[in-house]
Amino acid sequence: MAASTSTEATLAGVRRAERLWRSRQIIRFGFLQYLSANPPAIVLATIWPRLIFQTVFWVMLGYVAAGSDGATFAYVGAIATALTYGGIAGMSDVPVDDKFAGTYTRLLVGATPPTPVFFGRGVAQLTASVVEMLVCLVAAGLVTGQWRTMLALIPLLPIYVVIALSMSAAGLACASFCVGKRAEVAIYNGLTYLVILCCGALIPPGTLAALDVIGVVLPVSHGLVAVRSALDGGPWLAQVLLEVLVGLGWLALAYVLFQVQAARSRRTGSDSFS
Amino acid sequence: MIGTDVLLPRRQRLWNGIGVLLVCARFQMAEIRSSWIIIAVTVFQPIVFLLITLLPSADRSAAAGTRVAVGVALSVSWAATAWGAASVLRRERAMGTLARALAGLVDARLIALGKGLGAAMLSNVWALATLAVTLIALQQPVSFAHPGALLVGYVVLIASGSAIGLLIGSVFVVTRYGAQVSAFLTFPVILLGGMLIPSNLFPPPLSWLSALISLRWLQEFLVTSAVGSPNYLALEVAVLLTVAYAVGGIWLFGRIAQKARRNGSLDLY
Repeated sequence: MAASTSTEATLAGVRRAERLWRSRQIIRFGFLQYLSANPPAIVLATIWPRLIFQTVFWVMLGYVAAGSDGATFAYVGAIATALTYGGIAGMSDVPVDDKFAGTYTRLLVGATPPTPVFFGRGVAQLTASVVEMLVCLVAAGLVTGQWRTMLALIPLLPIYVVIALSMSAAGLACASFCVGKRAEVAIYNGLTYLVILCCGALIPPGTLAALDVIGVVLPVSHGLVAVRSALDGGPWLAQVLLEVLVGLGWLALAYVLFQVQAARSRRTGSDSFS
Repeated sequence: MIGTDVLLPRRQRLWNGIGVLLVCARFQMAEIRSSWIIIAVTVFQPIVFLLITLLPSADRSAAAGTRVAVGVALSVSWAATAWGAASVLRRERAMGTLARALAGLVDARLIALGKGLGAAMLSNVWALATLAVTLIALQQPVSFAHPGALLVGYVVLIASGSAIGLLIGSVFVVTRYGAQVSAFLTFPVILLGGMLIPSNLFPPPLSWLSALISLRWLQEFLVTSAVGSPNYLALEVAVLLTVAYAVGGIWLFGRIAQKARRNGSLDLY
């Protein structure tokens, strides 16, 4: 009896170690895939400058609309919207790459099901989105003369990281929608623009009720309320918890949708994602 | 790059060229209609830009609305041009027809220019329709003082977009990262082109750079045409810049395509 328990414990340990090894390999593959599609030279020469210009554009638009206060308001929000590039558009590419390469069939029959594979590969996009946000925070802050706000935001970066996590969770859910359709570009752009429009990053909450209502279930909205409140010395914890809740909701949705897509593909043989 | 057309009389060559241009424009329009990216650029983007620019603004007069609407229309037109040009050769590469298109009997520049023209025409029409619906939904007044001048401005805009498309298309012949390059170009031009951000807010070196962007001058011409007296000098500058883009694009595209054909490296990208 004792020998049997010891064998089971050893087997469980081996399985755990193997799962850990697989997880590390999947995450590592995600980074390799990211670097293959976006080599450092391309990141430095195109992706970062594009995001910096985008952030500067939003800040200057805020200035044109509402003067210095408008610029500061837009700067705080534009930093968060920079996360949409890696968190939503990049994340959508995770399953879409398999779609184009015709390798989804292999994932379906692999030892690790597609859902954890996509979640693991998404870590690279999440990391890239956080780095991109930090680049925009510093570069756009200096270019637009928002360095005081930039310095004030540094202690609040953990809230932005929470926003990045919830954004990536929403990105994964968006990616799962892209699996079954050939409209991935419209789907991830649609969610990106919805976040930019409704999360209170560039249009102050209360301007148009419909935008606020949609924003409640979108990433960024609650996190930004927390950041703005913390900047004014007000409470922020409740809003951060709401942001976490929104992120978990999107993550659960992503999990269910990926599972459903995989089950459907196994049942119908629609391996090329319709 | 000239092909066997060189043996035909000049007039015949001209008509053949126009024919190729129009066929390619028609092909590209058919392709765009089945592509989802155009929805993102010409439907989502104008709505978002318009709302972000108009809603926080205190000035909702017809003059301010016109300035913003023209700015958004030109910004979206530019984004569509960059993506349209990107999609032209990306599709050729994905389908394995890039080498054939660049090494065929028909001058590849006519193909790229025609496809750019088709992309510019269709995307501008879609963007204008979206803008019209959004402006009506927002009950935002705008002016149309000189519709004829506005039409002329739009013809120059489409020509300018096609010419720039040829320049951007050159990038796709030499790199597989053309999508990132064209995505990178979107915001700098929207920012520096003075369409939504007045160019007097930029420091001198950047405002000089802004003067080299045809959209900046078209913005001035279209806004002045819409609200009162058209600034034809701005139109002339825009036309001159468009001609310069076209000449530059024809030269660069021809040179790059020739080099890629000579090295036999087209299928590597």
